[in-house]
Amino acid sequence: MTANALVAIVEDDTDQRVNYCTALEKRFIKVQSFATKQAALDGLSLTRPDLLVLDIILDQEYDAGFDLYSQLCRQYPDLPVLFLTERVGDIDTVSGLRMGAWDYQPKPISIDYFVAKVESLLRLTKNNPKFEAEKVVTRGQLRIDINRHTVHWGGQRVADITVTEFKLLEALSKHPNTINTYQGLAAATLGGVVANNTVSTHISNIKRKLLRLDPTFAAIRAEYGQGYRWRE
Amino acid sequence: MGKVIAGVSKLLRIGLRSQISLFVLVLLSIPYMGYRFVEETRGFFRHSQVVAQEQIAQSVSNLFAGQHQLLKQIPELSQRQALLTKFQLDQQPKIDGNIQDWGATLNFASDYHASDHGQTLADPPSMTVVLAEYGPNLFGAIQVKDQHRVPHNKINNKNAYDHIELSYINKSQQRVALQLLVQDAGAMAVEISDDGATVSGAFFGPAVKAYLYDTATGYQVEFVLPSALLGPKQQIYLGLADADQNPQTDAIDLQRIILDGPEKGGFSALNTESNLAMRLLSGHANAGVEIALYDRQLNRLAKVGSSIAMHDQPWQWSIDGVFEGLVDLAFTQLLQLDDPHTKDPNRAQAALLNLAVSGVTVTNQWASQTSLPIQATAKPIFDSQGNVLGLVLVQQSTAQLLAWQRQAMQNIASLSLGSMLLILLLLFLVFWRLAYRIRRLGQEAKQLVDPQGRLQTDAIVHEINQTDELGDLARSLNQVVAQLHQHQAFLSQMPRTLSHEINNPLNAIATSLGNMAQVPLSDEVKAYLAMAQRGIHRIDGILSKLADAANLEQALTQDIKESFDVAHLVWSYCAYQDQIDGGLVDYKGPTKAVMINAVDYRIEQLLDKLLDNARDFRHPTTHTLVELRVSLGWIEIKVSNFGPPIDASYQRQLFNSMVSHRTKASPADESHFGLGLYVVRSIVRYHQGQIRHHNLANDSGVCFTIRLPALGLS
Repeated sequence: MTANALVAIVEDDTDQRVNYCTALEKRFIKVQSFATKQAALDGLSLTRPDLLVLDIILDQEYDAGFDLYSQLCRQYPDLPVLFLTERVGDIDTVSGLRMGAWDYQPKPISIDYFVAKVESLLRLTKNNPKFEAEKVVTRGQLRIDINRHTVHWGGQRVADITVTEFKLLEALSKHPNTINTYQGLAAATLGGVVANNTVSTHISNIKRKLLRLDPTFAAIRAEYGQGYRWRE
Repeated sequence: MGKVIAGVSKLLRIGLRSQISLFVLVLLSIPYMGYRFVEETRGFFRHSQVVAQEQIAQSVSNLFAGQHQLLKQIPELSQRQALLTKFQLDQQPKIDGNIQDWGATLNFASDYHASDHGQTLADPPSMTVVLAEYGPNLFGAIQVKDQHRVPHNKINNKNAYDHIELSYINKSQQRVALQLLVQDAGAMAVEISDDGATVSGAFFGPAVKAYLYDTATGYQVEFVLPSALLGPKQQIYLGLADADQNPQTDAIDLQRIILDGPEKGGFSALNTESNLAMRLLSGHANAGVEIALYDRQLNRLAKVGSSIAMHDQPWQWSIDGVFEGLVDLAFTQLLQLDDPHTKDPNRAQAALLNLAVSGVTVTNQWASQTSLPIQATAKPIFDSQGNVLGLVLVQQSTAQLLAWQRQAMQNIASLSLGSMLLILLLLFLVFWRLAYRIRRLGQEAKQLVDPQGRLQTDAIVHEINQTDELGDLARSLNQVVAQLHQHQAFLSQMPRTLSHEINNPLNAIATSLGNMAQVPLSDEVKAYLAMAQRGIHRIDGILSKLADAANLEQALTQDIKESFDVAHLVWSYCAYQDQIDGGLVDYKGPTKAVMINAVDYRIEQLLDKLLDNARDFRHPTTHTLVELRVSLGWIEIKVSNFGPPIDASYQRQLFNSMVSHRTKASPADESHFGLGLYVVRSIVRYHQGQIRHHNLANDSGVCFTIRLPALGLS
């Protein structure tokens, strides 16, 4: 299904880059790898990859990954991307990029998980009907558009929702009226969150944003010591 | 330009030491400069006075130079003859007390003052006397300054009453002593004195008449005495007896002004001559200047004026108040340094005259018998051959000068005292402000670090722009704080930096191990591979926890407090913990809602850490007790477990970061870095709460108590 797909990997660390390439090529995925931002811009100027795997920090350039993605998006709109980074917080704060940011994964990452994530994203890019059906989640007044990465409450768009908040809201709403444990919610953030209080911080931010739109909002309930519940 | 401004600023910079020195200099200079000014002025005035005296003496000397007859005319006259000169009236005055009809004769009136013989009368009297003749009668006009009149009262004050003493030697060479009794305005009673030597049966009754007339300052008396009553020598004695209340004893004391002459019994012979010398001298008389004429034998021939001006008061250091007392204490010695207090004025005067009679002009100073400072100049009078005919002695009181000096000193002292008070006030304000600034800076310095020694700010706010030493100190402190803050920031960023730097090589290892797992491996290698992957997982956990702890305080500041029921939180939390902990968590607390304003998930996080801690340290199968109490605006959450007590040596550092006292090995998938209680303390502090701990009775366990502000029960 994902064979012959082209994945471009931009990673300045040679060992990691070689490991990513090796793992993907074993799954018959074609890989183009680049060590620098300029090399990637040059190499991808004529060829559109099916998926871009990006490290955010390249060499000494702190935001090279974000810059590179912005420039490539001008040439290839809707270019799917997977950020591999230890800067999870930065992905949440750089909100301008999340419109097209398909996914991110914090380092260190298990190579199996990496391959699975790449294959999953490649399948999505092929418009697999199985995944299409899951692209919109509706719970009462809540409507989550997974493809567009947008959240609406009562017809109003929830502004400034971050990637992590989006994933937590998605996880909560998928299992209404049941307790979503801290561990489960943390897993839903793809490893971006490891501690209970971090989950709680993000949930608190979600509640605040929804309360701004609807002061009577009370769909998220804390189950102290366990996690959170979406109440319908 | 900038350098110039900087240089000027540096030059103008006045440090604390300079400020204090300046104040002290000003403080000392004001009285000293004032004293020097007064001294110089006093010297100038004294010199001017001496010069003026010499000029007067020279003038008189010139006047009498070569006047043999004039000087010889009067040697037989008594020394005080001039005091009782009898003038000629142009018309007969009416004895009604009003002396306006005396005409120009009043111009020859002489002033007399009471001598100070140790008495301190409230109202020292003075009088002006002029005697004149018209026809067969001798007339007298006496003006008395006396505000307190004590009339004659035969019952109570036999001797102490106001009266004029008028005595004369009659034709029989007997003394006749009369008293003109001072009473109300009108004709005065004339009585013969009963003090001894009187003449019996002497007739004087209706012949002697007197009349008293009230004036604004006292009274005046006009009397007439038939000249025929007087003997051939025309000797007369005149005096004023003034009775006043002594303020010290409240008794009525008597004080006399006596025109006593050189004759026996103090009588003077009336001088009926025109006395040209007196008239000549009178032309030189000034207020406060006494001019006397002496022959070669140093007999005083004539005298005009008085060295005691009407406004001169004996120099007495009156203590009218604390302030004057202080001034006197401070300046008495200074003022007396060059005061001419020669003890014996008669001797001093005689010495001066003896020197002058040798043909030289001499000046000297002494104190009169009434302690008045006297400046005197004696000048010889020469004839055409250069022989000394006589002397002229000019005397003048310097009491005015000293009084002026004293007044000036008092003014200077007042100014100095005022200045000193002002400067002391300024100094007080300066030092008060200085103390305030130091206190404020100290307070700020104290608040720079929290009880755990962490910097709370990156800069000093107060005193930073001041240009004095405190400003220097504040700037130095600020520099230190900035450097420490930089260092602390570096340390606090360390976990995140480490996390960032380590994650990349960690990821390289993780992905390499992942790829290695894809190739065929022996069981032994697979086992090692699994161990390596577990290690990677643990390192990842460590880095995440360190990064979370490092971010905690910043994250707390972004949390928003909300009101919620903490009783429900603790109860439901404990219920779940009890469920997953095999029923070993007990809860005791109110059933009603207890509202607090806090971040609920931070309270949950706090309970996580405390229960983790209790679980790790409790004896197996023992319970952990969680209690919630409400008291006086606070809620208390207590978490107790039975287990080893906390060693006293750990008490102080128990809540510090990276401090762990776990003795047992942690499970393989868990890492403990002593962050738990540090997180608890940070959360409690963010909620303005308190945390403390104590060992249970008999060291059977440990109890942690959290206090947080409560909103109330509902």
